Amino acid sequence: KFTSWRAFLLALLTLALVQAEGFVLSDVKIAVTTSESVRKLYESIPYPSSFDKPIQLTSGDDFKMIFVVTDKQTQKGVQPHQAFLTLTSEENGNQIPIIVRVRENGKAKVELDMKSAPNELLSSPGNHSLDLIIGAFSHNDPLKYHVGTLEVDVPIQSSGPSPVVYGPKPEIHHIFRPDEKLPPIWLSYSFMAIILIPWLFLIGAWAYIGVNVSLLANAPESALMSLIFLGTLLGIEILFYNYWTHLNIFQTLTWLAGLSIVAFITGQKALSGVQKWRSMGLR
Amino acid sequence: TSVIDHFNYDKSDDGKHTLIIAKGITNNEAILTKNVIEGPPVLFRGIAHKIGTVPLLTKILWAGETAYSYETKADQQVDQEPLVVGSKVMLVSALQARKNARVTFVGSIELFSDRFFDSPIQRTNSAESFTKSGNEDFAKDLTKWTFQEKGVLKVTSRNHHKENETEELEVYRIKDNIVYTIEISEYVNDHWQAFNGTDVQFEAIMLDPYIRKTLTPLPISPEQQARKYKAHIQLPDVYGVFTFKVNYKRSGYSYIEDSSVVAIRPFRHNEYPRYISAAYPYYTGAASMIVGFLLFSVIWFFNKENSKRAKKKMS
Repeated sequence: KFTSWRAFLLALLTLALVQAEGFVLSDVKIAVTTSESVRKLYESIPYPSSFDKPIQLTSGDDFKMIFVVTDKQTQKGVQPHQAFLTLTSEENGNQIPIIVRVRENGKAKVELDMKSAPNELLSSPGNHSLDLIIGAFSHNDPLKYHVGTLEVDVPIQSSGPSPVVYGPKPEIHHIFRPDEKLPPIWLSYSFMAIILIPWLFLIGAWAYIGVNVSLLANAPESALMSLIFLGTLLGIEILFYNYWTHLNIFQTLTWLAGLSIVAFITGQKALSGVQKWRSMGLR
Repeated sequence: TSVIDHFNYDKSDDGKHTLIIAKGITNNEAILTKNVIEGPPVLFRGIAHKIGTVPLLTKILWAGETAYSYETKADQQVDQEPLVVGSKVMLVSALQARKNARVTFVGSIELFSDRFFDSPIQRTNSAESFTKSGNEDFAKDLTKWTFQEKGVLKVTSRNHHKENETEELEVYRIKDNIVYTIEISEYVNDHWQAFNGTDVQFEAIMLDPYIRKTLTPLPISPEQQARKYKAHIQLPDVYGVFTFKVNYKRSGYSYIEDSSVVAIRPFRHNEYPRYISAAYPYYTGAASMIVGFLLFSVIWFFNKENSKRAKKKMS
């Protein structure tokens, strides 16, 4: 009775084992040799835990790893379809695969020589996560084993023009040329003052010689013409001021034509009036 | 060759581990709607391809880190470098050419099959399962995008004029303040409606861009078919022939390149500053002369000499 129960259990188990289960790694060893053939690192990694210290690789180093892949049930060596050693950069997520060739007895050896490493690796310094991916069609429990962390120490290369990505570009604000620099304003004001100084002399000198407008005050009759003439002169000056601010030459000449005729006629009459005053002894 | 992923295949796979559940999906909402992006994953059985870095390409569906592309003979190992490995394995990708022609590359015909549309998903070695795959909605969105029914933009009008004016000039002056507006509409669900982008940029280019400014979208009423984008710009103080360009290229949307050529002229002789502080002495000099002349004329007419002094002079 007992043996048939065992036989029944064994039959059940074999039925369940139609799909093989998983993989087991053993004898995992890594070694790093420098370019002068000095062995820098030689460690045996206790599967299933990872190697805790970071593995440092500089240019010229040679990284080697060996392991044995066996089936979990039969404990015999297998040659899985997929055996990749991948380096995944922690900075940009770039994944670099290295194909591992597994021999019939499950033993495998993989080498990464920095002298002939792919360009992708040589241009991405920094930490890389080292994983071993084992998969096969006949097994439904593939293996992803984190071996350790690789510290790749290569000089940072300017990797050429970075690929174009469509997106908003940085704003450009035009910097306008600064306004022309003029001399300081106090210089202008002081020269204005200097220009106005002769007025002091003029007023002073006039006061000294006794300048007056008494004839206007006593108002002989023909003073009217003189006043009109002087008004015309004032008008011409006002016209010149307007020309300076907003008129153009054609408008100015038009006005000037009219005003100069008036000035001429009134001027003649004014001057004959002055002559009359002279003869009258007023001047 | 096929895409093989021993870690990500569906339960109904035939033993070759090629019926994979795609892991990477684009989050570009111009191509796929949010429901598809966040919904059930897509089943795929077919070949892989890889894409370069040209910005005209967009990756839409890609495999996980453990995938690779190889022949599926059971008793053989991978001993040659596969074409592509890991998350570089592209399953569906798209190209939009410069004139907005769209091409989509899908490595699997079965992705569009009724069987995959209705199939549930159960990832092996995982509790993750879905009652229906996302294939049907994914195929709908993908075909909509490819056949120019989704993510299509057009410019309905464009206008520029000086601040406080309305006429669109061909010649502007340096340092002019202008207002630039452009209207863009998007084709959604078989009709044109206002576009919702916020990063449309304006450029003023003469061989190199002198000005680049982000246009502000104006709020619209629901029945308006295009959204107006507006910017207030001060033209640079460099004169020449400029191109006002809106060059809107975003992955998933059709490309917009709208340009208008405009001349920018320097100041005319009467557009410079009128009064300069360095000239104040000259202004006062001239004014002083005028006032002096008029004052002297008045005095000359009406001056009466002091008789004492006159007598002195005469004697």
